[in-house]
Amino acid sequence: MSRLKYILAIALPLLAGSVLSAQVTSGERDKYTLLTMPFNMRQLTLYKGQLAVNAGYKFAVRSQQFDSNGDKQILTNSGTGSVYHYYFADIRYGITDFLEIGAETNFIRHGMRDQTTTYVSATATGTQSVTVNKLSEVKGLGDILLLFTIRPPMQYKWFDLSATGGMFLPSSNYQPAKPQDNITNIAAANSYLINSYNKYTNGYGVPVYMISGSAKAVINKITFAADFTYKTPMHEGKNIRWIGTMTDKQFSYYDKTYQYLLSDEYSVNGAIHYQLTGWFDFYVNGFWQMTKGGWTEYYGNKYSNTRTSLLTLEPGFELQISPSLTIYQVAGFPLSGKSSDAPFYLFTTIRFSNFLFSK
Amino acid sequence: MKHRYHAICMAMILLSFFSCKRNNYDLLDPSSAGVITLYTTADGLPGNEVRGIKLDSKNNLWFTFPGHGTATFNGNTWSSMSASPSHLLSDSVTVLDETGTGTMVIGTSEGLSILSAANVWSSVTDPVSGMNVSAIKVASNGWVWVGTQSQGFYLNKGSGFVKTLSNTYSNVNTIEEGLDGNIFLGTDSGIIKWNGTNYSYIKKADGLPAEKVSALRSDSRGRLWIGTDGGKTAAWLDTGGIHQLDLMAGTDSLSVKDIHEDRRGYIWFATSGNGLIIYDGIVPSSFKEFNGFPENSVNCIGEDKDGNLWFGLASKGVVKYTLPIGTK
Repeated sequence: MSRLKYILAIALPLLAGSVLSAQVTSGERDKYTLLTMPFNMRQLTLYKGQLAVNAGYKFAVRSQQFDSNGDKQILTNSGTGSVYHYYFADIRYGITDFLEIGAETNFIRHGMRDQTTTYVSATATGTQSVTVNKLSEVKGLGDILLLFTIRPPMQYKWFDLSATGGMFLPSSNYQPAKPQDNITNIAAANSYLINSYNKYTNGYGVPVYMISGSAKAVINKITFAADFTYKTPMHEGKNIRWIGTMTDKQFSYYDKTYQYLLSDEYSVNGAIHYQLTGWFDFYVNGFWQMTKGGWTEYYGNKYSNTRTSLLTLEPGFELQISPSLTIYQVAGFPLSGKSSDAPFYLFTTIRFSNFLFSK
Repeated sequence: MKHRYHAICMAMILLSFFSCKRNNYDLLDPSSAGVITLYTTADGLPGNEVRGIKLDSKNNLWFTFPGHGTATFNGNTWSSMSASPSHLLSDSVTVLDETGTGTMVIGTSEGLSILSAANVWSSVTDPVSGMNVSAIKVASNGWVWVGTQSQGFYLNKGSGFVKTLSNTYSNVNTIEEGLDGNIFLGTDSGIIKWNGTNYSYIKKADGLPAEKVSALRSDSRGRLWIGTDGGKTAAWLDTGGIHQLDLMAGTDSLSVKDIHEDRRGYIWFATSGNGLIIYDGIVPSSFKEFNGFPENSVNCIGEDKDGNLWFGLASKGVVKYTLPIGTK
């Protein structure tokens, strides 16, 4: 039944779009008018022949998280706060005024430090002390998302709808690299420091479907915008966990394979925009995301993935600095959630846009 | 042409959704991980002192209770068995093991009680010198090794038990088979090794933490873990010789009662008075009363079909522990 929903969700808009878009031809356009179209007067997809390239950077401070009861835990109190750097790029092209295609990917760099643990054993013959610092790093290129977006073949005036379908394609081998542990003060027999360094990769590891729907309505300078996105994995995946052993202060490693099924992801955005001038749009967005379903294998048993949710308030703006260049800036303030990291972030995107074949 | 292109694209996308492959599994609740459950006589155990734990081929867990016979747990209910009215030689049950044919070999202070897969009882005793059984190992070749206190060990190669006794190695505390098929018997005076042809001996002078070997366990990586009564280290034997591991228990005289490897590859040491010591391959850490374990004296460790660990305590019953899970 749920598969039927997917099919209907993607088939109906596609069917309408594919038929109707072929029947409508747009007239001659003034590309500068289209490139400088304010947000409240702009349709949800690119115009025919328009190319847009986005490059973004998100700086996030992971200083708190919400536990399974929804209570906020301050990570900096335990010295385990961290920051992460998220780089984003996409390219989109309007095939018609009603059909847009695109591709996007990302790169992430995130180091997470566990609380330092010291093990002490004091006996009549001496004291032994071992301190363990553990650093886990997530780094690497994300999946490549191929997508298309369609909208009804009608002139946009005050209301618009769009539907997006796409798939995340794994871009690399997602197995974590072998850990790099080392010992500081190795000559000391009874007191030494172990630095544990685990390296994980970015991405889902399996193909993931994505469908999305967006809507937009305008009253003068105020725009209400909302979208819903659903992601689900194509199939189960396999990965490995590394297990280290220290013998005579030398490390060796072996790995164990495990299976997993990614959780389904749901996200909703609801925003109010205000078009202050033709080149400046200010907005406040509420971003809610939830993961549900899926499982992960631990030691031969399959455990349900923990359900997570997060609500973030995102004030932001869109600033057009030339017909081809636009800057987007958004800040994220986590409000509530369960079993989820709750980072504060700043996300800056610059967009280059132009018409390839129009003079 | 445009119609055809759109139709082909749409058909490919729809077909890809049909390729979603999901299997239905019985999933465990993540909140059940890392949880300790204590069972006592109030839950149906015949006693609160547990000496041995063994998972049989039918996925029942067997527990031995000195003075109170045995009990089994099928995942839901406990059932117990004592010398009366069963055919156990004695209620003083120490250890047990299962043969390849499903026969349970149960060690008591009076000898062996044997329960076949067809529920037929038999027994093995030594009317001359007595047979206080302290260790049983059914080897991969089907031979049954039985260790005793003060009477050495017995070996049944299929044609009956034959006793081997030397004064030096009269107390056999534990028996284990290595991955290479060698048999190791832990005694009060070191380890006896049987390589299929000859016996050889490993003593404290060879690197054992103490003379009295109280626990032996082979792990999945070919190491034979050695626990002793005395000393502050454990040791493991591999092709590179004997290696020492400081268990960091805060004592120079540790009494290791049992050793077990869990599904993560972590090594667990049950100790008398120092709780459990968990070795993750890097640093040993303690699990005892101060951080939530019910008792500091643990006699034995077993594992059920789901990978849960079971600990037999010296006086407070049985603990089930579900391994914790990570976040990734």
